[in-house]
Amino acid sequence: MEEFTRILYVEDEPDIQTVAQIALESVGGFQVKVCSSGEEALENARDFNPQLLLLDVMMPGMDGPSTLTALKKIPELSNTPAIFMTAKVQPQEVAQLLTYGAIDVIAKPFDPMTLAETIRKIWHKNK
Amino acid sequence: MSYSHNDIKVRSEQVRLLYQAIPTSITASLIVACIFVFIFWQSSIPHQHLIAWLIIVFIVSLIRVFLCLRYRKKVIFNDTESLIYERNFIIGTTFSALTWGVIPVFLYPDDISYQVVIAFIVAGMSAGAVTALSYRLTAIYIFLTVSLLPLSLRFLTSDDYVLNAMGVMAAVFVVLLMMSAKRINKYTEQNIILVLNSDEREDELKANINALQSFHAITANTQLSLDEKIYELLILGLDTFKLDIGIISNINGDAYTIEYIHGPEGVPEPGSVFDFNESYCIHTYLSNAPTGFHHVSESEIATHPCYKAFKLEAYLGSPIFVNHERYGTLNFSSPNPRKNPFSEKEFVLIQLFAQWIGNEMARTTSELQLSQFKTTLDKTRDCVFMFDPDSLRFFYVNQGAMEQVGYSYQELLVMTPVDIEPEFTSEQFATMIEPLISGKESSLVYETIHRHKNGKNIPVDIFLQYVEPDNETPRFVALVRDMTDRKRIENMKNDFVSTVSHELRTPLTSIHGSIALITGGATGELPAAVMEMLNIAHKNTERLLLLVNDILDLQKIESGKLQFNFRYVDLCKFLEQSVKENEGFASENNVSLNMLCKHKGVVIYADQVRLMQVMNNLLSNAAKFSPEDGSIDVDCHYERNFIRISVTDYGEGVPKEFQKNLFEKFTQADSSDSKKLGGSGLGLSIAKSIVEKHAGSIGFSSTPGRGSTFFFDLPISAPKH
Repeated sequence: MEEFTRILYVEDEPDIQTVAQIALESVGGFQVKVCSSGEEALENARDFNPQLLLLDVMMPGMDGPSTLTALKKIPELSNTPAIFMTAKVQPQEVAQLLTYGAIDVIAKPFDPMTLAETIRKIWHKNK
Repeated sequence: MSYSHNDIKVRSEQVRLLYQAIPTSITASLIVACIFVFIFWQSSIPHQHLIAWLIIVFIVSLIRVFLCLRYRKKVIFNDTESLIYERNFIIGTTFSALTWGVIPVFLYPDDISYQVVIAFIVAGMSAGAVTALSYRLTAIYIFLTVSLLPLSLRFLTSDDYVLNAMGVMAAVFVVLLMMSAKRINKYTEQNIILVLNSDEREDELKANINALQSFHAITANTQLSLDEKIYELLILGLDTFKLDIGIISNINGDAYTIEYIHGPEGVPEPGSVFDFNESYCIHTYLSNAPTGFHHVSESEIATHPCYKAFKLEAYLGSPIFVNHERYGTLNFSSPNPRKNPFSEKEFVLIQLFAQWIGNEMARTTSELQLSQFKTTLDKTRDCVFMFDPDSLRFFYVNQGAMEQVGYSYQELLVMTPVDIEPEFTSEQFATMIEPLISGKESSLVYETIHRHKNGKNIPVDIFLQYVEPDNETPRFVALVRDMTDRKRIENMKNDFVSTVSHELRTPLTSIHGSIALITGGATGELPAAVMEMLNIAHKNTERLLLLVNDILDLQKIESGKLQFNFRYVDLCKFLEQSVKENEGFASENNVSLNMLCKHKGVVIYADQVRLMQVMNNLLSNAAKFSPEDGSIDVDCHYERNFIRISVTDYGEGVPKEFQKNLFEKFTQADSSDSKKLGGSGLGLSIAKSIVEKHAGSIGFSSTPGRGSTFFFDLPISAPKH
């Protein structure tokens, strides 16, 4: 089985980008492609060929769900699992987000020291 | 019988009767005169004497007939005229008597038998005159004296003793006739008085009936305003009492103010003020009853200042009472005296008028006060609904209330609060107001929605009171405030808080994440002192995040943005799970959790996730405040129509001064607690909001030093949703 290393991360907030990037790369040992918007993600996704899509929900322009919907239309990514990150963690909202095809929702603020481990668990559970 | 005031009327009537008898007596005297001449034609009396006498008799008769005709032509008599006619009658009678009186002087025959015939004829005429003339004694006395006395004297002066005896008899006859005339006169006079009295009574009765009919016509006329009615009544009084000036006065101390006045030109204007002591009304006040003076200058109050100032001769007044208090007087007066004193009926009538005026004034005043009160109530922006405690039907709603719910007054009169408050069933509403009826609560404040006739919902805040006024039936009074505007502002505020909180959360996430990476060692080793500082920063960013999350939670629940997912939940299983979830935290604090609930199979209708949040809050609070190695009891039991879930700790308890505001936002018993124990101070507020969304209520009981029991009650029946 291919080793789980490549994550495409879409987040508009630069500081959170930095924190998550460190958490995933330095702590978790992942290879992370950070995009600041849905549009940027669509441009880079195919080349990067991610094994997981990690998407912020609330973003200006294309938000998380519409970005995911667009990414899923790229044939190479149609089966790539996706995880949303959001501050909104009401059960109804989680249920709503899962209908867009995500495999899980991670609540913000996340613990950067355990984020990589959490994602890895979710990814493997989904396989 | 005292009808002295009727003397002149009686006399007029007597005169009328005298004149009425003239034709008969003239006819009789003419016949007798003719017979006399016929009989005496053969006597020693010269024929020319007899003819002359007969002519005189005819002339006197003619004069009397003429008098009689003149009298009969007159229809109405005043008193003086009546006296003149009486005098004329007596003159005529005297002449008539003279015609008989002169017989023994000028027509005296020598033959004794003829003399006796004269005696018969004159005596017969006199006897006949008694019936016709006894109405006035003067007339009959003169007639008898003039007609019979000469005859009596002639006989007495005769040499014949038989004639002397007849002269005495004639004199005695005169006296006897006079006595019977007097008796007849007395009887006829009494008769006349009786007739006059009954006429007078009939007139008075008619006048009274007329006055009462007019009074009724005035008071019952809906077209007239009170002022117009009062003026009509004054005019009626003047007509009825035959007086000239009608006044309604208001008396206040010494001030006599004319409120209404009707009279001839020159009377004072309404609003004029006089000295009460100088008005006749002071006598009305002294007697405190209808009082009258029909002829002041001849009465005991002839020196009254009012008489001196205004020369008012007649006065009739009655006190006016408004709401049992003396207001002033209704009085009528005139510069002309009245012939007769005021009658009992007139007193009754003026009293009736005064009572009516007093009642009308009282009613108008109270109506005015009531209408001012009602207008104010009608115009109040807050809506006022009043409803009956038994039927719950509205019996008063103000303008605002009608506008708020869009129903008309008539429509609302057959409706109850439940008809416009769709959040309640009749049973729920009855349960809610029960403490007010039983007196356990003095008022009730609740928020709900009112449904407009067009189906629109209006958020309202209701202040409900049970009012039991003295002598009136108890009622519910609801002051309802439209919360639409306040809700909108509240929503704006909530949106603002929610936006701000959300905006706060993003940078906090970064800070929190960065610090977590550093303290977690992801960026390499750091000196111990730096680590300590970063730990403080980390702990506080966590607190800040907790606070922001709680605020967002609370706003969501309160604004109704948070959807509740109601399901039927097995209460025991739910409580067991809550104990399991919190066991970890409890054991960290060295506290044990005891599940005591015995009621297996109780089902509640709840959002399990939200309700768990409540349990978590109560349990974590209990754990925080429990002593080392303490225990916490989780229990449930029935209370009337709801089930109570309780969490009991045996810690310090809630200090008295904080008990009142415990469920308010940002309340913690000790401000240092938040450092020591953590928590945002919003937990109980959130729990309260969640429980209320379950149609339940939250509460606690606490004994400082002994511990606390926090509980929430949930309805057993499923709430409406």
